[in-house]
Parts: sequence; C-alpha cells; structure tokens
Amino acid sequence: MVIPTLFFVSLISFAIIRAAPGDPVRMYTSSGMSKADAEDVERIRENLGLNDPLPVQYVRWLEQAVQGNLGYSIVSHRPVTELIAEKLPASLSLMGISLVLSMTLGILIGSIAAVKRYSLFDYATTIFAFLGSSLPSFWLSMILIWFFAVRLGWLPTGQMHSFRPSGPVWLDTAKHFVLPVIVTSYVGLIVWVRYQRSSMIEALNQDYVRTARAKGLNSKAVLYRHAWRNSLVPIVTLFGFSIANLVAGSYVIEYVFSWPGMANFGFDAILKRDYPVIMGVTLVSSIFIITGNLIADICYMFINPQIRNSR
Amino acid sequence: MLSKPVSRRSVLQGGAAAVGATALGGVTSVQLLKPQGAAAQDDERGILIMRGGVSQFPPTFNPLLNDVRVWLYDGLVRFDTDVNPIPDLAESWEISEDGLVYTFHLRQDVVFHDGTPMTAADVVFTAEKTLDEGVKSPYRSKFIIDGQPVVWEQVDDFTVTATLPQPSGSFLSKTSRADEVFFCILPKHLLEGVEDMTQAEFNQNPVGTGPFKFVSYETDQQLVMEANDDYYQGRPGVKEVVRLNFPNEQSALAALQAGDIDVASLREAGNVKTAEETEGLSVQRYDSNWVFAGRFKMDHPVLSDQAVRAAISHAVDRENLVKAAVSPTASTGNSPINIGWAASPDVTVYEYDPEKAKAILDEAGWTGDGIREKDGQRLSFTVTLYPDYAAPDLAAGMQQLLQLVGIEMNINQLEAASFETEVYQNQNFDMYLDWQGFGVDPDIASRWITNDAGTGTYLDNPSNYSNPDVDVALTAASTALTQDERQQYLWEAQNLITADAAAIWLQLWEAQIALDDAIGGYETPGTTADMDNTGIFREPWMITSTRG
Amino acid sequence: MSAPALSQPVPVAALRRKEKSLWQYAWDRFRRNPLALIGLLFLAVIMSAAVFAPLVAPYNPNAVSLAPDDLLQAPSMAHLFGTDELGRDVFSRALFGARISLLVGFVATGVAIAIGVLVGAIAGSSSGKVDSVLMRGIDILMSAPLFVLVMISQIIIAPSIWSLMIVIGLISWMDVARLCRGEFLNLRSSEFVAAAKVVGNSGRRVAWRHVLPNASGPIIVAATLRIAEAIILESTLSFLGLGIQPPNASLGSMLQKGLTRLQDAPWLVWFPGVLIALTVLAFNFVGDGVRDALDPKSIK
Repeated sequence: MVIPTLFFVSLISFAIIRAAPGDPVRMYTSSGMSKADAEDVERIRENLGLNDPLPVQYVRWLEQAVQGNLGYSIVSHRPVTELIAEKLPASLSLMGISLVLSMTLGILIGSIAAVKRYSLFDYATTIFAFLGSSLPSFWLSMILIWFFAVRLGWLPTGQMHSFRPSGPVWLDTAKHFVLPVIVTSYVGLIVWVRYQRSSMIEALNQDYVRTARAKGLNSKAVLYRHAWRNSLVPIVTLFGFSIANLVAGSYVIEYVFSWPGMANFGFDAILKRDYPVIMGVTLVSSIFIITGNLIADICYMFINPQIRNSR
Repeated sequence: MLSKPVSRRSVLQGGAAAVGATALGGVTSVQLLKPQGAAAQDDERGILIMRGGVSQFPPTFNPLLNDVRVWLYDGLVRFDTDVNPIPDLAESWEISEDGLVYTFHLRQDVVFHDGTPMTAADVVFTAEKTLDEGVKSPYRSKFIIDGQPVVWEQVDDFTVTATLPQPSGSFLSKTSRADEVFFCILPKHLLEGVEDMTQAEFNQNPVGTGPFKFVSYETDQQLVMEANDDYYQGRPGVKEVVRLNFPNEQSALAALQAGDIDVASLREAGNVKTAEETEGLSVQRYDSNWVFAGRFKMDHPVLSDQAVRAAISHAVDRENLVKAAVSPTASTGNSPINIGWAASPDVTVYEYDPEKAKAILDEAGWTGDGIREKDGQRLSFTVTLYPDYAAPDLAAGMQQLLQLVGIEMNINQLEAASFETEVYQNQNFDMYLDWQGFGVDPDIASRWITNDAGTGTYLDNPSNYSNPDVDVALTAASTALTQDERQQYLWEAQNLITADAAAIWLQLWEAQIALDDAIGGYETPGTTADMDNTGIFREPWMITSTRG
Repeated sequence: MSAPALSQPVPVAALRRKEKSLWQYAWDRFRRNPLALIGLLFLAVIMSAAVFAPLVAPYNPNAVSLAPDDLLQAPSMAHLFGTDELGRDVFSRALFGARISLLVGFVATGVAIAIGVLVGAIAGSSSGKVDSVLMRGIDILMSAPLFVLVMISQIIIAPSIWSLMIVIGLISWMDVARLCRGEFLNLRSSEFVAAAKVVGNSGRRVAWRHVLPNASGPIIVAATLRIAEAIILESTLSFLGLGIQPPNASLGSMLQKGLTRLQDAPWLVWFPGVLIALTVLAFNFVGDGVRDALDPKSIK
C-alpha cells in the first residue's frame, strides 16, 4: 500500500518538475544579474548527467532512492538526505506546537460553544475562528511582525534563534516561536472548533445523555463524563489527518518568518530547479501525509467497532 | 531582543566618484595606500550582523564552483572607485608590448587562514583548476580567449605569468575577484589531489586569504565569520561578522528597525523610504552599469521597424516611470554603457515626446485610430518580463503610455528560471525586459555582436541584433591594447546601437544600503563596479561596530 | 488545511420523502442563522460591485498618472482608497481585483466540482474494479504534497488568471469526488433508486436524473467553502510571485505589492486585505449556514 503510493507520487513529481522550463545549472552558475557562459553550463550539465534521457534519469534516481540515497543537490552538491535532516526539526517543531495549540484551544472553544449554543460566546468564537481561516496568512504575519516586532519591539522579526541571545537560550528560542505559532495555529483553529462543536452537539443529543440529565444527575458531571468524553472520539481522526499537514502545510509562514524549515527549503529548490532536492522534499512530505492518514484510519477503526468488525 | 547600541553617527562618504581614464597597457605599478584598521584594541571591536547582498549564502564556499561573495578570499588585482586596476595579492604587474604576456609579482607577506604562506604555486593551481574540464567550474570560459586557454606559469615563488593567445583588453579584470569573475586564490595544499571538487571537504570548511575567516554555517540560515588578524591590509575593525537569512525584504527591514541586524541592502522603494525615516538608520546609495532594458526581437514583423522602436522610446516617459516604479532617486540609462570612461557622450537619446512618437509612426505608415496598423499588420506585441521587483510596474506603466500613441503591448511575466529558458534558449518572445550590463569591465560584445549560427545552448543576444558596423567596432574593442583605443571603438558601437533604437533603456541598478548608526568606518564603492565579493562594502575590513 | 469534509451525509430517507419542502425548510433554517445571512448579504454586495465594476469604478484601474504628486496619495474624496506607486486609483483597482479574485474562486471551484462529480459519479455507480482504481488514484494524489505541485504547475503553465483557475481546480476535486461517490453508494442501495430502475430507467439515467440532484446539498456546501479556499490560495500564490499578470490585479496580488509599502503607504495593504478577509469570511459563513440548514440532525 505505502510503497506503491510513494512510487507513484515520486513518478508524478518527477514528471511535473521536469516538465517545468528552466535549468538548474544556468540558475546557480548565473549570479545576480550576470549570466553564465553557455559553454560552461553545457559542460556542467553533461557532467551531472542532466542531458541523459529522462527515463534513464528517473530510473537512476529510483535505484538510489530505494537504497535510501536521495542523491546530491545540484546546487550545493551536498547529500539531499543530510540537507533534509537539517531542515526537518524546525518544521516539525513549529507545526507540532501549533497543532497542539490549535487542537487544545479548538476543543475547548468548540465544547463550550456547543453547550452554550447560539449564545454570544458561540457567535463571537465562531466569528473569531472563521476569521483565522479567512485572512491570508502572509498578510496576517506581516502585520503581526510590524506591530509586535517593529513597533513594540517585544518579539523578534524572524528566524528560529538569535545570534548570541542576551538572555537564556530557551527563552530566546521561545520568543522566536511566538508569532509563527500564533499564525499557524490561528489558521488551523476553525477546523477544530467546528468539528468539536458539532461532535459535542451530537453527543449532547444522545438519548443516554438526555436521560441522565432528566434523571437529575449533576449536570456538570454528565457533561464531562458522558457528553464531552464521547465527543472527543471523532476528533482523534482529525488529529491523524493533521499529522499529514505537519511538513507540507506552512510554505508561506516559513517564508515570511525566514524559518529554517523544509518548506522554505523546498520553495527555494523549486525556484532554482534543484531537482534532487525537490524530489527529496516531495518524498519526505508524502511519507508524513501517508503516515498521518494511516494513523487516522487506525484511530477510526479502533474507535468505531462497526468498521473494525466489517474488515 | 538586542537593545540598540548607543548611536554614534559616523562620517559618511557618499556619492558616486567621477570616473577617470588611465592607461591600461605598458608597465603599471601602483602603491597601495590605506589607513590602518579603525579599532586597534580588541575589547573595542564589535560584531556586525547583516543581510548581505547577492549570494550571501553561496551554494558552496568553493569559488571554483560558484559565486562566493563572502569576505574570505582575494584576487590578484582589485579596482579603485574609478574602476582602475590596483594591487590586491599581486603588488605589481607588467604587460608585454604585444599585450600577450602578463607578469604578476605577488606580495610575500600573505598567509592563508591556516597559517600557510600564499605563493605563486597557489595562483597557478587556482588558474589550472579553473581551466580543468573535470572541475565543474562555471568560470572556465573566462580564461578561454578565441578558443584557446590562457597559459599560466610559475616563474619563481612569488612571480607568475599568464600568456594569452591574443590580446584582450578585459583580461586584467579577470584576475580580480570582482563581479562576474570571482578569481579567488585558493590554497593548493588543501585542494591538491581532490578527485571530485564538488565533494571536497574544503567546500564546507573554506580557507582563503581574505579579511575574515570561516567559523560556521547553518545552511541558508546563518553564516558566522571571525576577523583574520593576519589580513595583509591590517586587522579588521570588527571581530565577528554574522550573515542572516531573510527571504523577503520586508522582514529584513523589520529586523533592521528592531535592531536585530545592522546592515541590509534594500531595493524596494517603500522599504528604503521607511529605512531613511527610521531614527538610527541611514541609507547609502551608488549607481552601477547594470541597466534594466527592453530588447526587441529584430526579426519581429512589427519591431523590426526602426521607426516603431524609436517611437516606443519617445512615447514612454522613462524618467518619471522609473522614479515611480523603482525609487525617487533612481537614474535612467540611455545606452548599453552608462557610467565611466567607456560610456559614450554622443549616443542618441530618445526624450519623452508622445507627439514626436505619433509623428514618427505616421510617417512610417503606421496609421489608424486606436491601435495603429500598416498593411494589415496591427502595431501589437508582447513583452516578456524578468520577475524583478519593479518589472511589473515598469511594464504596466509602459503599456498605458504606449496605448496613448496607438501601440498595443501585452505583458507576460515569467518566473526567473522559466524566463531564462524561454528568452535565452528558446528565443520565444517579441520583446523582453531584463538586466543588461557588466560588473567591472565594459565588455558588451557578446550581447550585441551578430550571433554565430548554432553556438551553445544559450544566447547572450537572443534578440538577433545584427549590425556589421557594430560587429567591427566591438571586435576591435576587445583586442585593443590601450584604453584610449578601446574607448574609441566602444563609443562608436554605442552610437550605432542607440541610433538603431535597438533597445529601450530603463532604470540603472542602484545599490541602496541601509545601515545602523552603530556601524562606521566603511567606504562605499562609489559604483557597483567594485562590489568585490560583498555587494555592499568596498573595504569590509575597515568596518567598525559598537554592537557588543 | 485539507480536513475531512465536515458535513455529515444527509440521510436518504429525509431527502426522498419530502424533497421540495426540504429545500424550503432549509431556507427557513438558513434565514434564522444571522452569520450566514450577513455573509450572504455581503456577498451580494461585493459580487454585484465586482460584476458591475466597469460601471461602479470611478477610474480606469490600470491608468497610470506619473506626476510625482499623483503617486501614493493617502485616501481622500477623490481617491477613496488612495493611489498606488503608479498613481492608479486603489478603489477602482480593488473593485476589479475583487472581480478577478471572485472569478478565480468560482471558476476554479467549478472545475473542481465538475471533475469531482464526474469521477465520483463514475466511481459510485460502476463496478468494483473501476471504483477501486479511481479511489486508489485519488489516494495517491492526496498523498502528494499538493502545494508543491501547485507551485510547479503554475510555473509550467506560466502564471496567468487562466492557469490559476485550472491549477487550483485541478488539485481540489478529490474531496468532492469522494463525497460524491459516498452519496452515490448511499443512494444506489436505496429503494428509491431501485424503484426507478424497476420502472425501466437505465443505470446511467438514474444516476444523472435522480441521484445527482439528491446529492447536491453536500456538494453545494463543499463548493461554497472551496471558493473561500480558492481565493486564499490565489492570494498566496500571488504573494509568492506565481499569480496573475500585470497590469491586472487580484486582491491577493495587490497585497503582495502593497506589503512592500506597509510602513509608508499602509492603505495599499489595509483595504485589499480587509476586502479579501471579509469576502472569504462571508463565503465561510454562508457555506457553514447551508450545511447546518441541510443537516437534519441539527433539527431540534
């Protein structure tokens, strides 16, 4: 299941990347405004095997990839696996923290909104959460940078850490996380709020919850023990799907905040047509997406006995 | 958050220096006169945090493989602010009467960052590796003249000769580390015997002779260098230099304003203006010979008509358009060469005059209300844009102004890599807008000489411009022995090219460097001709900083 | 974020018993949702402004005025939203920009819905083999980092308003296809369709005539939310320099240029930014309102 999917994804990526006009050698040998000499470009292309027929190049890539070797960057000549390993932690930590934050907040807001349906709180939080997914994230980021970093000077403007921070290192790093985490989690908040809200409403409408409340059981206890806990079950699936987005989800935010992550790195590689790097980034992203989907499936099967039995 | 250091406004040297002419041939020996590094005491030396200019994070730190514009290396010669060659690692040089043999006498007090002395063997090694076809160097063709390689030989420990197959007025500039050339002297003892240059351990741990030593590099994020206290011109004024990544300029500006960095080269007018208005920041400017120009496809059914090309230049208010789209201080070019001894004073200038544009078109038979026509051919074409930040506005403005005289111009902006292929390889365009120019040496031949049939994959002259008189002039210019002779031929070529209205010249590239007041002691290049490998400063070792 | 469709399938029974009154009933419910109603009202305003932009706009959106005094004017009565760096009227540009953003949103969604419904219908109404091949294909596509593919596709087709519509449409049909297939599977096993077949309708005819209209509720919801996503995606691509061609502008590409002027000409950033946010927000509210209105489970 996983292996054929990865194979097809790599084939699609290869086909699309090589269909794009542009030449990595011309791009990196031309510096600034001056263009590299055509003869030099041609000689280096030949040396790198970029003039071979495309199927030959794909098979060569595949043979190496199967052995865990994703090739060398055309631009920096360094191993792609090494470069990705350098970039992965920054993306994972940013997306991971944001995921936990938006999930926690989303479940909290969603549950209260469900209990207090059609209240002021319900409307206010709905508008607030929807706004997050309605603002272009680059716009929101730039305005937050301008306000909190430039005007107020409270937070750094970008990067993941300062050169020689004045205070403790952890504090410095934490400060760098604040703005990108706020934007990333705010953008994702709505999904959790809406999902939890409807799931909680459904749970509240279950017969046994109604019965329990009718019997005069303590309302808070019912809400928590029966309704809330049951409402969380479908959320687990959403968590699985969110893992899929850990790597692939934050191109613009990494770009705006100069974040040293995979997405920024991948975008740069696309502009430079660094084929092996693009293939590597696509492949690693796919592995995360597939893993996330698998986790979601497993969770779903686990919590839903009907499906478990039918399989 | 770093607090802003105490403001200490430094004496700034601004303005572009006038460019004079000196003899190129014969015996030249210039003595280097430089003040000592500004800060002598170690505890006075601060650090410098910056967003560098072009390629501040080179793909590798090996200058054989790519442009390395960090302050790690030196070349044989450098250029002063008037673009005259001055000594770098070569303290003097002689050129034989026939212009074929260059003899370089090297300084004897230069050591690499690892303490090994720099000798003639290192120079010859660097040149040979550049020429080695097995090394994937994009600079090999710089040392190929008329199909033949330049022969480098070691005479003694501190003397080398380079023998050219035929005279070349631009050869000396190719022994510098300046823009477009990047001849950086490498340590033979560290690179000798490396089989595959792309995999050399050196590429991640570079060793040069420059004012700063490599300390660490976090890919595309942060480069740290420390002062090379043995630098041959003196101890650098800052003890450490940090270069940080900012993929977009607004973030860099925000970091400057917040005091996170000290220096950034800026281009976008709004950001420059904001930097100027920010207390504690100042902006330095200098012009260059890079000009953003529109080149016409010379065999296009509409654009092949000189009258149409001239009318286009007259119809566009180039000066105001450039000031609006680029920056209020930006200058407008009028020729392939705009600054310095090589710029001709007699070029045809197409001033803004829409009535004249209409008259020219009427006279040439392009008539009609709305979009003009001639023999059933509409006066319409498409411009292909390089995605430079001002390009969309320049094109949008041109489009509107051309419409007023009855010319239809459609716009097709491509992403950079696609643009390279479409324009320079496939020649798939009517007109294109891109940067044209040069760093140090006014060698414009490849962009204007008639294309040979079937040369290479990419064309420097994709517009197929061809004028036999220009061919003669530019060929003579490239083999001329004296600067006076070169100047004469280059002027002639420019006069012919502008009379043909072979291009529409728009903005000159203007370097705009925003600096924190904590930074002092620097010298701006005057023109970008001597951007060296910095893109920002002329003498990085002289910079001082009060940032702790 | 690609999240699983939030909508729950509408039970067949409810649809079958009282099809017409269901829509009426849904409208009644929709009307009582203030957010959705405000959203709809706002969309009506912005969409008519966009459609009639040539009549409403006080200036030609692309006409430049290069005199130094005309550049970057702050908002005034003459220029409600100020002028930009080429002296163009930002209000007029924003109207035409909204037109392009909405057009991209609608057409891209149209492409996605068309492909999605077609693939979903074929998968849902055909044999196991065709179905499983199609579904495997969708799985594979959804395992690829779509944003990377979008960026590269934009480069291949060369950025323009058409490429934006097609590319955005091409990557967002998979959810619709899954949704549509699910509806088909549900409905196919229902008595309602069985009855139609007994009367003598062919399978294909049943699919198009009877099943599809019944599946339209969730599809409308998905489409509304997809338009919102498409508008955001378009602005993001514009910000990364892969958007529409000058001199035209979408709201997103106005932002891209405006952000370089955030500090000295903030009106270039605020007006298009707020406009884009409100438009997308309105689509989200309406989509959400329609979903709630169609969802019988939320009936008290």
